[in-house]
Amino acid sequence: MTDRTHLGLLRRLDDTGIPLLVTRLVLGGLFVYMGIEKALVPTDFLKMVREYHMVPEHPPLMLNLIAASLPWLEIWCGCLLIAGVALRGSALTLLVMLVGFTIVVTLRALHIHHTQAIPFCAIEFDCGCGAGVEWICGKIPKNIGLCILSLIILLSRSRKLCLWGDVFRPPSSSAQVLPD
Amino acid sequence: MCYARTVLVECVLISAIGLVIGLSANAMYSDGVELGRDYFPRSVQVFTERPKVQENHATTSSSDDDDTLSKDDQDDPLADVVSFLQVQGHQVIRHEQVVAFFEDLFYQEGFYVIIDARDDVNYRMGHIPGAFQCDHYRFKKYVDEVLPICQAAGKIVIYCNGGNCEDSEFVTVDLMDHGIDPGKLFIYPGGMNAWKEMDLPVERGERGSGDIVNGLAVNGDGHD
Repeated sequence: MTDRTHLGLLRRLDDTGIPLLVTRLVLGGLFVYMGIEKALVPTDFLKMVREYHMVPEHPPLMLNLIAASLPWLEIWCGCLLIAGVALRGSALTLLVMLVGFTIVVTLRALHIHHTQAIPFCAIEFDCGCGAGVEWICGKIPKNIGLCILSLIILLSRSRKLCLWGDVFRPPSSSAQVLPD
Repeated sequence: MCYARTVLVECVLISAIGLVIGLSANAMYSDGVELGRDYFPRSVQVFTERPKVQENHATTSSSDDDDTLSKDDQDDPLADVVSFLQVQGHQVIRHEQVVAFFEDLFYQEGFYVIIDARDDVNYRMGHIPGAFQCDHYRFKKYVDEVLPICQAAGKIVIYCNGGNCEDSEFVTVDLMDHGIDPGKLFIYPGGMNAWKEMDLPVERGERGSGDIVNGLAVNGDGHD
């Protein structure tokens, strides 16, 4: 099969709206769950954020702002995805967060690897992601998987089973978007 | 270009709304983060020099100097933690002395007070019998109960899980900030883990629940 045939198949699959729906529910549900886990005990999340040493402790406002708002931003984006509202914006927001999380988690693991001479894949810690203690060699592929799910939503043209897929309809692609 | 800009605008709009929702929800949530509060006061030097232990409550058989750990305790696995706490200006107390406090009649009478600085989950899993809970991160919830007790007490032992846990240190700073004499405050570096390892009695559930078991029977190592 040629590349064009492959593209045609993918497009037809995308047009059914099923892959997008499944991806939205999985990614949105996961972020709502993990966001709630953090939002219920925000001080625990605050302690986790502090352990990354990415944000200065003094003045404390920045650290506290992150701990207070990030879990709710995750819940908000997850809800938008599940409801099918502002899909591209939500997916991009989650993608940016996921890339950021993955970078800081990897940096922290590398720091532990160098300072404590622990084999990289033997490192496990609670990354503050809402899923408890995890092996770093499991966490990174999992995050990459979630990034791919975000990209699928970002690139999908289908708006079937969405409440309000595009808040701002992209002018250049508006002609290509199939009606619901 | 227009497409990218549209998606970016959507992303910024969603983030801004999410931020507003987050801060509003946090403000309404009773256990939310207090934005202006310094939750990690350890990095602030709390003393310029190590405080003197008060001499006016000579109630135990040992002297005050015996109550605290010295930097010379080379065999102590917690030596680094002890040194660090002492550099911060805190007083630390030996495991044996905590046990002596616990068994002393003055503990029953409230002259000696033990404070558990851990969160609800850890406290309910098992604490030193009779210890008051005072979670640094929800200090407002406990301050009204704990402060009068600390003001009346002669010596106050504060612990968390032990080792590198910081909560006991933060509660010590909280109590000092609320006017408790630093000379009365002692940090127990071994904490709950050392207490359980020695198979000492552990109370589960609320304070005074009467559900007392031996330390080794309590599962879980706990966490900060």
